[in-house]
Amino acid sequence: MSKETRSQKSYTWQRFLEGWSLFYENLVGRIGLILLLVFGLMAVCSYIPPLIDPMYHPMTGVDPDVFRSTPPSAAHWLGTDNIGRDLLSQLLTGARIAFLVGISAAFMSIVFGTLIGMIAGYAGRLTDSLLMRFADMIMVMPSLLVVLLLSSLFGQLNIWIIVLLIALFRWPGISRVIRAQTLSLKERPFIDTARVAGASNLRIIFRHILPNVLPMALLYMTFRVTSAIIVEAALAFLGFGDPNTVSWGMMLQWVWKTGHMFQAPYWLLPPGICISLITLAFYMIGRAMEEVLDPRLRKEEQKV
Amino acid sequence: MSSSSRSPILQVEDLLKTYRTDRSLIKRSSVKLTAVNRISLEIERGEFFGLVGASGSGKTTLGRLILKLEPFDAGSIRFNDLQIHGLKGSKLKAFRRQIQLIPQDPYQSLNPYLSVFDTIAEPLIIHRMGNPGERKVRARDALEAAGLSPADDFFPRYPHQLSGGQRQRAAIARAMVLKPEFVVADEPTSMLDASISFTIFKLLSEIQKQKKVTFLFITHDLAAARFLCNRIAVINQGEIVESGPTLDIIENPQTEYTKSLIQAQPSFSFAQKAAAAT
Repeated sequence: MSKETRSQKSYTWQRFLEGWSLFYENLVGRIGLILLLVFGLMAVCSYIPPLIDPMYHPMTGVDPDVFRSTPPSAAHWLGTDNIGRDLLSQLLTGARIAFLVGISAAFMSIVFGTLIGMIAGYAGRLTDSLLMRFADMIMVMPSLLVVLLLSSLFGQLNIWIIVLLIALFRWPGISRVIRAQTLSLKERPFIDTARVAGASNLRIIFRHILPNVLPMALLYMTFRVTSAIIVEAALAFLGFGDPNTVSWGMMLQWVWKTGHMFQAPYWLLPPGICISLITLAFYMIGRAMEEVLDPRLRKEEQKV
Repeated sequence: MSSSSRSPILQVEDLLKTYRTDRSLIKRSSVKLTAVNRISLEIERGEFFGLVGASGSGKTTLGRLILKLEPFDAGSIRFNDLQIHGLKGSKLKAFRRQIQLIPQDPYQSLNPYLSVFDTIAEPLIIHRMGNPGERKVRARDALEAAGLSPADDFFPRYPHQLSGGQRQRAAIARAMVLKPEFVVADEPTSMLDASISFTIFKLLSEIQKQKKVTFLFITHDLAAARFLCNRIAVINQGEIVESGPTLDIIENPQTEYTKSLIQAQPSFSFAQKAAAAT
């Protein structure tokens, strides 16, 4: 037995490797990943144009020779907006904002959702009923409308407030899934042995239940990224975005507000296409991850 | 321990546990299912006590009640002359240190995300025993006593890298690392094949002799009970139908139920060979 040189991989790592090979076989997941890499590259490149010339700054840089929106040219590959700001650098910055909003809002909502779901499922009884009815109430609330109301009450919202609001409205779906998983996990014998060993409820939740629900939480995070990006774009387009950030929704709002909707396709189309593609990318990755996590969704020949 | 050595380690009196099967708001009439029906029994310090019954007889429920994993409806359970009903805080923790469980299914009873070392050391961490170095020594002792040696080879492994028998040995090590006085073994070999079962039985029997641990051995297998237990109680539909020294009951069963259990044994010679082998 001692001569046996078995690699001591952790369960997490082993699951990741198995999951990765299944994910990579999945065409949808591969396309999603490639799309996402392209957007990631865009986000990284967004720091470059302002370094070349201050006029390429997406917010404050104005080309002194341009007085109206111009179509693509050698100096401005995607053209400029009506006051002479470069559209390409705005588009690149928009990718950064989309990642920032999408991932941070999704991350916050899975933290809320996972915590509340685990507590509801583990505690059961009254705590469970109260938390789940509360989740139902939030789930049926028209989140966009409430955010619109809040922003008209408090004036322009900071991008981080928007992120927080999206997170606060998007946890109930996750908490329902995590609660269901917790309900089945807490009947598993290893929870009994932990309790017999004297483990506290907190220890059981964080040491024994959390690692087991984390893969599912991460899966739901990819779907939440999609919805967070869409909500942020909608808010920005409606004019309730953060005026100090350049997001794709903001770009669309500027096209609309300046009356270039049907005059400048080079201005309208890129942000619209980017919003569609980045949400599609996250959605495709989520679907592929779902197939990895749920063997019932796999095709026959893929079953391990 | 010496002062109470005459009194039984565990006294169960008139224990009742019912489950309600229908608790919807519309249907008020709920069907009560009696899992444990007015059971009384005493387990002496240091003995290997068998609880034998078919599936659904309430034997696992009784084990869970004794481990304080579920509340009971009436009666009392006294462990070391201490009422376990309503134990809280530090007293509950002290109780938890003295009584441990060897679970049924080794594929389900180990957290897949914890390594063997983390699994075995966890009870020591919970009870704040020793520093990391001492914990490592105690975990190593426990694992090697459970028959997985060298322990350092097994420590970094995860349950999916162990066979069924190895997992059950890890689960036994986890139960024994706190040096408990009382161990409930709930059909510890029902998921293992016969030859591995036999080695696990031998291990439990050694532990009981060397460490003076009291065992409550829950099983449906009279052959195993005969090999291991000093005394057995036969349980049927939540009631104890017969109890006494193991050989008396197997050779001279008083009730029809016990007779049917004995007849249902396919290979009774296994236990006799096993007994002869040791």
